[in-house]
Amino acid sequence: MSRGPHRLPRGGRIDRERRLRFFLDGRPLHGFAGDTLASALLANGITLIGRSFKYHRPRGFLAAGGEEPNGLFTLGTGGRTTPNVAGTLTELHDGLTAVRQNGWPSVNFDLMALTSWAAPLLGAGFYYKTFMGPRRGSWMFYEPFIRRAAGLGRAVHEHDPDRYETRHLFTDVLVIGAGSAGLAAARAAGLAGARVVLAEQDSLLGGRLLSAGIDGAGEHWRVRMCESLRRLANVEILRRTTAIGLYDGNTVALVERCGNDRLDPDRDEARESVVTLRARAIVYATGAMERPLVFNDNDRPGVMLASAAQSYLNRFAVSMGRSAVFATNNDGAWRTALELAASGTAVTILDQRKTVDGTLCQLAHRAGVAVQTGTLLTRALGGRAVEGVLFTMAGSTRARRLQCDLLCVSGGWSPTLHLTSHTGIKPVYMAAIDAFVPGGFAAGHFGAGAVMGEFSLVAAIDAGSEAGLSAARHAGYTGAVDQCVVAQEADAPYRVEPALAPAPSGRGKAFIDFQNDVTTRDLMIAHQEGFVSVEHLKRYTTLGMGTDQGKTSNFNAIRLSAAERGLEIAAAGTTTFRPPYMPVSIGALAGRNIGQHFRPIRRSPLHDWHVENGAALIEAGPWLRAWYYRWAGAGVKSAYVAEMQLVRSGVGLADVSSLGKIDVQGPDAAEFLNRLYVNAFAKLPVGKARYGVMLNDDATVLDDGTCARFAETRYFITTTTAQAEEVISRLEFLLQTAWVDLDVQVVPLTDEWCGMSVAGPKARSALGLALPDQDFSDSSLPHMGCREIDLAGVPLRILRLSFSGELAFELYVPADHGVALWERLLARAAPLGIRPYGLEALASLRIEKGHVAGLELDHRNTIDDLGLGKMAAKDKHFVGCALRERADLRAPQRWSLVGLECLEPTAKLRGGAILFASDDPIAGHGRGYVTSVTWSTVLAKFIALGLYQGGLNHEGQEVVCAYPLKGEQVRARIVSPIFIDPNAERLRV
Amino acid sequence: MFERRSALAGKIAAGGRDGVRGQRTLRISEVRGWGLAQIAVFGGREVEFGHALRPLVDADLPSAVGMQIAGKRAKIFRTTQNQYWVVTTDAPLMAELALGVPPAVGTVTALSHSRVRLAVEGPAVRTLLAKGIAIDLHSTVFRVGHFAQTGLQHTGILIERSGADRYELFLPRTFAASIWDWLVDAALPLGYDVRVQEDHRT
Repeated sequence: MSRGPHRLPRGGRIDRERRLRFFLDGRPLHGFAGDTLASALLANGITLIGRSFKYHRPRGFLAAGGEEPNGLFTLGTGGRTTPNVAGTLTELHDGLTAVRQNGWPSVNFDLMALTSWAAPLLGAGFYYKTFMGPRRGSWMFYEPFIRRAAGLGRAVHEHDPDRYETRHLFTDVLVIGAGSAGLAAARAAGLAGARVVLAEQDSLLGGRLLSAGIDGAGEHWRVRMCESLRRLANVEILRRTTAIGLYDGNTVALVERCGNDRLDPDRDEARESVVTLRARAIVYATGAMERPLVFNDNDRPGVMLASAAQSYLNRFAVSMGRSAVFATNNDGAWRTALELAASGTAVTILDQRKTVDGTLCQLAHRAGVAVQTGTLLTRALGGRAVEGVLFTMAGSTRARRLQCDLLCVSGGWSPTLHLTSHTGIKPVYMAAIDAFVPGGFAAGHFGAGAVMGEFSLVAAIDAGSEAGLSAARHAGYTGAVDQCVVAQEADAPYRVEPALAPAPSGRGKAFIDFQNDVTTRDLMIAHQEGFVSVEHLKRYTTLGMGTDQGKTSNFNAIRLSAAERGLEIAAAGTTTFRPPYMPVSIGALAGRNIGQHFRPIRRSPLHDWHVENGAALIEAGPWLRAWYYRWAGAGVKSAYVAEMQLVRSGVGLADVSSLGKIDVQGPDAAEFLNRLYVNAFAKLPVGKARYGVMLNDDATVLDDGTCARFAETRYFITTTTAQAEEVISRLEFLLQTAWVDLDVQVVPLTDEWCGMSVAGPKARSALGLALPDQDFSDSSLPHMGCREIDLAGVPLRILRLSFSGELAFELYVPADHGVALWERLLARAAPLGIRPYGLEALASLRIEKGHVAGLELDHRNTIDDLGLGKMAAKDKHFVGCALRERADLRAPQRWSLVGLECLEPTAKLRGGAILFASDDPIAGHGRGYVTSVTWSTVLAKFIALGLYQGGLNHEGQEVVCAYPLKGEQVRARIVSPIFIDPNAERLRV
Repeated sequence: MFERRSALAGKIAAGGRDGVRGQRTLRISEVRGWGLAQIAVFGGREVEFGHALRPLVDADLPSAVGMQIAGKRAKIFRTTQNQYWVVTTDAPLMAELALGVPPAVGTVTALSHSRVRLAVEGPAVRTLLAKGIAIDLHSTVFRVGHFAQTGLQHTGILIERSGADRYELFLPRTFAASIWDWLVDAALPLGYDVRVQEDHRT
């Protein structure tokens, strides 16, 4: 079985029994379970893994974890294509397809690399300077070309068939990171009795311990801890889970990735989930990341962080090269160098420090590792792969040369403090480790391990235990916790000196930010041009942007910027870390809130009947309503006209369940309604209903509707569909704040009652057939009368009201009985030709009658604007009455309600059309606009309601209805908005 | 003569589905055969209100918001400082409540048709509900008998834990079909059965 040319014959945490086939740019390759895409590629000898963002320089893996800036791939095919995924975090699975990015025609042979020749033109801010001219708007011309030439992978437009989830999670203690400190913290908190969630980005627990050998004291401790946690039922371990953001109230956003080998999207398993976790206490055990060094051509494939080389060697059993140079300023890289030497690689250490701990030197000597101290690495040699290095000795400028095929760099370690910064707490500089650490914690937040600058294993474990226990105590748990110790042999000290960078030279590029191709020269340009603050520097150069958000570049940038400004690094400031800590797929953020689940839909109790009986449906706010019925026509244009004619000449039945319905009860209900409506309600008799209008505090109309009194202390009010929720909120607000002295209860009843309207000249006859025991005569149930009857044990409320202008009754029955009543009406009144009519006809009938509705009640108009001013009582106070008297609201030139008749027989009016006087230039906002339009079956022409400056003062005048979107101009005449039956004779029969 | 038609009549018929591994770890039921009334007391009339209700529900009212009591004739949830939900299978109680509470003391509003009641049960029930409900349903926190008013799919609902692995959801009727669609979709990986249950226990 082939294991790949660079796979060691033994070792690692890979499963050599599970061989996996995957594809790179269509080429089949093999790896093992436990590999990442990165380790599998390196094992196959593939070190050129992409081209850089701007200069298209060849790049290899720099890291082995989430900080990787170079190794981004487009994974998957079709709708499952995901660009810009770090190969270092991608678990290998059978059939994985990966494509290297940003090379044309290929990464191996990239003609776009010619861009490098134009590098002098492409410095910091080049597009701000170069592509702004020669004329205004030129950028719009250049932008597509620039985007095509630069950038990362590309998303696809195909539908992603995979499933994504969101879920909520609660815990006492959240431990972020399962390295040594995190494991110890989770164990301590768990033993103390707290509910614990341990979130780990990796598929395995252990953090940096996973990159050490598998037979040391650290590994034995790790295994013991994992077993201990497994036995704690109150500890939930989330692997493959990244904490991406920290928010108020100890809310943490986590992204869980399903192991690709387990993913079966065809069976509804989620590919990723976003978890909203709320914790009572949080332990940050997020570790640290190694920093690269800044020197010329430090981006050559084969230049790698020392910690990454250790991971690939020990965890993935990848042979790292024949000869390696380690360039460092700290002790950490030495151990990796020794391990690499033990695996058979010839190793040279170039340490910039003049003196190094004697023990390390002895170990190196014993391992056959050559050591040079007091060195300065100046340049990496090679093109598509590193071939050697140039360096100088302290006090000398003479460049020395070393051959190598691997260059491991270590500029020290930076604590991973991104999440702690999300709370707004700035990091502070700790000179002892030459790095920033969290500047503090909110109550209930604790840090442990490398994130706090504790790089010793023993210290990290002790601090982890203490932090876990403190977190549990904060959450109220007091259980006893024993110690978990690791053998001292596993420990190692950490000493570091600030990294040196060679002076910029004319040869090569010294990269600070690999992903955005930001060099030391860019930093100097930015400073020369005044962008010296780190926040300005970031935005001008793009330093620290991109998918890695500068995880390997920020510290070096701050250091170099501080040096440029003559400041200590502590005084230079830091940029602000914001969520997300790692890139998140849009699919995960959307979860299942897509398609029909994007928002809930409200359905009438008659919904199923409508669907089963040929209704076309339409969304109306949250509702899905019957728009028109197929009996009346195949399309809405013909159907609604037929339905209108039915109501005007016979009888129709409409579903009005979406109207807001509110129960108002209490000894003070009459007083409450009297204050609420503009018109008088104090003396409304039992058995009567009244049309009413409510105002906002500023005297604009809030809503209109009817109010029926069914008992001395009980009223039933209806609102428009659109304002139902706002009205109930308003009523509750008034009762709970302004009028707490009133004994009134309001209860929303929209869901409780199914409503239907029986309308038309034959409506009384239809009801007589459906409910023969009831008297519907005008004397028994006059216009605006109401009664509640018992229909075989079912309450039925009947209100004689009219929205259409015809004789009409509204019937309300408990929702589950709605279909039964509806079908009874249709069946028993069938001899009269009763049929259902939909929303389009309902809305059109009211326009003919001149009734205002949602399109006119837009919270901008007063009752006077809408022609309802006479309704307002003069002898009482009501909400909005004071501000109604403002001069602006009484101005004669306010836009107010008018009717419009179309004057052109072949043209039609459109809602939203702008109104102009006939001699006005057709430009600007005009003198008003059309709110509602319909074909009038009575007048046989298009009619409309609209708002016009000066309103009916212009009655009889001709106007132009302009609709610029379609280039239309139609002549119309201003008329009364009541197009039919101005004396209301039809509804009083 | 005037038969009832559930808001979920068309949904229930679709039946259940197997989960990712062929399992059905959930049962989602519509509970029928119960009534709901919201009762409310006016400020300063609490004593009279309690006296009026005690003989009707055979229990004292819950003493704090968020508490419920299970009397012989009904469960009573205290939903706000002055409002209660009475859930009962005792049909005459609904009429008795309306007559038993004097209008000057409080109000009674029938809401039996305004809510759809679902029972969700099974070993994966908390996994399912955690996908949409932002409250801690852990068995040691949200104990049997606890209830809460919360949100599910942008909609206000009441959730009650009625058994070790059983929760009941009271959904606004007009949103019920939409929430049902959301719920069964959320349950797809877990597998679920669908039932109609008559309420014999309230």
